[in-house]
Amino acid sequence: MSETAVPSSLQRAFPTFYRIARGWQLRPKPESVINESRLPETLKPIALQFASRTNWGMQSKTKLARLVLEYFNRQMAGGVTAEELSEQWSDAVPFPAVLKLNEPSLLTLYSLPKPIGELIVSVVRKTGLWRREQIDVTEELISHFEDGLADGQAESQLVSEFGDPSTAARLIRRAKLRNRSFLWQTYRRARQFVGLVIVMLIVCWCWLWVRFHAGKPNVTNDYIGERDAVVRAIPESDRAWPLYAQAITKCIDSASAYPFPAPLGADGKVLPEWEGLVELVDVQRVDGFVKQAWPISDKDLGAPPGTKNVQREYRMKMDAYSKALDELRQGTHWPALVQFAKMNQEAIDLALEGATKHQFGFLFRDPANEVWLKSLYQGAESSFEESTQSLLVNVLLPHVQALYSFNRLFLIECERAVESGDRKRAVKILSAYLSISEQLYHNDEFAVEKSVALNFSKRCWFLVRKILREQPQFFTNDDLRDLAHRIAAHRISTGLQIPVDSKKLYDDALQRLYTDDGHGNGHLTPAGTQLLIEQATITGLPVSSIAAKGMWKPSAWTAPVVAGMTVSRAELKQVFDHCVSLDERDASQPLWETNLYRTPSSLEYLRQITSTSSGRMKYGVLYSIYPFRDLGDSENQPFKPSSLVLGADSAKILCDATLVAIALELYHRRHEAWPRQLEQLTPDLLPTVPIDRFDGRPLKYKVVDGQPLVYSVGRNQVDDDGTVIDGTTDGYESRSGDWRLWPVTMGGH
Amino acid sequence: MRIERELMRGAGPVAVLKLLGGGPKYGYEMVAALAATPDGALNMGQSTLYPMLYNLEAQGYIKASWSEADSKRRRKYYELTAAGKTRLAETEKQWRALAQAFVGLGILGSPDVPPSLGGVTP
Repeated sequence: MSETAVPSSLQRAFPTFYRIARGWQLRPKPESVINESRLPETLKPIALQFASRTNWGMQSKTKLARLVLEYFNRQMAGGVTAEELSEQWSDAVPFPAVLKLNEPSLLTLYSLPKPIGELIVSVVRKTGLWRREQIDVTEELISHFEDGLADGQAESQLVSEFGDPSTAARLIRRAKLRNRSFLWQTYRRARQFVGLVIVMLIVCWCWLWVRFHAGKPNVTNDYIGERDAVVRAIPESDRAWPLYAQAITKCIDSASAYPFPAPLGADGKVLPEWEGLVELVDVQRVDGFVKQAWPISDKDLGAPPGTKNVQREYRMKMDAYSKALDELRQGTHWPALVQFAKMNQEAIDLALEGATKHQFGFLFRDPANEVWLKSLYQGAESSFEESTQSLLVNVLLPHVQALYSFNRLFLIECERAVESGDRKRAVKILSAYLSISEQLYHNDEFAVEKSVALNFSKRCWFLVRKILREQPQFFTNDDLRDLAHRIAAHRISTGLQIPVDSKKLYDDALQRLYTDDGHGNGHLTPAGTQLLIEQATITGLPVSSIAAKGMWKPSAWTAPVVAGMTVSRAELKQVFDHCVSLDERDASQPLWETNLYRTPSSLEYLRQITSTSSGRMKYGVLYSIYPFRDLGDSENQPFKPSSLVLGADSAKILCDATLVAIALELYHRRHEAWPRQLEQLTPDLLPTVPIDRFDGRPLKYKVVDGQPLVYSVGRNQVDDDGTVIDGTTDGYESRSGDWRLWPVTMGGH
Repeated sequence: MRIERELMRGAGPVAVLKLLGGGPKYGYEMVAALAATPDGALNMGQSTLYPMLYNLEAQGYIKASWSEADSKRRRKYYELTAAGKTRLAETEKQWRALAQAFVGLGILGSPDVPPSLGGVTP
């Protein structure tokens, strides 16, 4: 920029800017300072080279050039020749501290013999100290060597006696650092500490990464394969499942009889005659149907706003569902249901034949499964096959769901038999309910199967009481005695107990998640981590909520660390065993000796060991693979040993109530009056008066308005004189009030 | 004679403190004085001396100051602080006790204790 290049208007408008710009433009440069001097031409390039070798700013370079220039002039004035100066300065290199040196020191430094100057520069540079400290050291070393030279020492001797420059620099640096302030020392220690921690963390992470990724699970037990081998040893003629599979296929083959989707009319709506039927065969639609017909809110249920009593809601739905069935039977839809049952006679008969078999006999790994799976659950066959290779706890049980359809079909068929007065058919169906229940109950150790088995039993007991209520004379005395014996001998009701999930479940989990060192110990593997993450997605509320809280949802970076901090295989086994023993202890306690609303001991134990962050990190994995159960109000954990235990006791009450109902009917036929107390039924019609599982005393009985009433004190364990408190029909499984067991209302259990 | 590093590590600072006990001195002066000890036993390279001085300074036993000498050159003079004087007195005591023990053991010669006895009393 030239002077004329700056418009005068700009000069006036921005005087400060103009002054700065002018200063920048006119600032002297080292070239001009040296070239304009009277220095001999031979020295000018040396001086310029010296000043230009630095990477400093222009101003500093210019200052350095002036210093060198002045020094050269003085030296020559003192008699030193240009050649001597040229020789001395040709390789001189400035170092960072030079500019800060006072002028005599700077000049002295470069006037010292080259080896000494280089030694000083070398030592000071290597110290890496602050500039102020470098200046101090430089000046002291200059002074030292000057004294040495003045003392008559040869430069070579001085250099050799000085020692190794690197060692000197290191020692000087160390000593000078000790002279720095306490604040700086603290900062330095803190920085070193943080650095050390970071290094250690990195080393630890690397070690964990290698350990984690080198680990592979060693699956030695194929529990599904072992179980299938046991089933294969059963003669096919003793297995029920092949007949059930045929029955399912027959239903499906008859597309018009098993409407998926429901047949639609011209207006796009389900044909009126199929409406009720569709709802009955599709449990999900039943939910929608029930909700639509009988909207249920928490307010209606008497629950505090914002809370949910899912079990009660479910029970309400089932009550409503039964009511719907009654209405359908009496209404316009009953013919459609009858038609549906008639069209599926072959399937029903096959299922009834299957119920006569002693063993359930389902094979998980059977190519034949594809047939019924493909037709019943389109696209599900592949995931089912995959599930048998995954965690045992995740094995899909589509056969159970498929079989459940017959629960409903039998219901329609039984109602049809009662309507047509076909006692034998009704008894056969009731017996089939119990048989299927026994087959399922003893088939595997999956809690889901036990639960479904209980539902089959309950349906039988309910229907018996319902028929007795609606058509007391339908069954003959012999029928009733046979039914009573069959129910009393029911292989579930006689020893009704829902066990906790098999230990096989978590033994299988351990072998698929952890390495195996051959001594029962190991660490989490990448494959195991992946399984756990999938598991967290599958198992619903407890795990997903934990994952959502970051308790157990490791990323690729954190997985090795999380795996390293996760409980070892051996310790996990101990914890598992402890939890199982706690569950078993809970299950062995009679309901009247326990608080029904307490947290299961195993879950309490888990909460205790995961109460801290480190505990959650260490034991969070437990939530994924151990079937911890809540007492029954957790909506996403329907299968819980504790609630199943409760369910088993509840079922036992229903079973006993059914036997009492049969005995009462037989007594009434014999005496044309109801007994005053249940003891009158024993021992002819009833071996003993059944125990109310909730209070440990006999089931409650009284005659009201000439009608008998059998009830349990229910879950509140208080005798409310047979009063049902909440909105359910008979109060069954309600938390408050009594449970009316006999007579059942139309839309009972 | 070359003294082992470990020995020098203990003796060097004492020697420097003792030198400074005689009054302020600059680096080269101390180097020369140490080199002049018998057998040059305390002769240490400058690469050792200067860090030692900085360490003593960090410990507060000596302090440094620049001043102009007669030759018009600037020099850095070191002198004992009060703490340095105390330290020197203590160290001297310890070294004297050590020397007495060495004499007793016969490591150091003494007219009173024959080396052959080693100073060990049965």
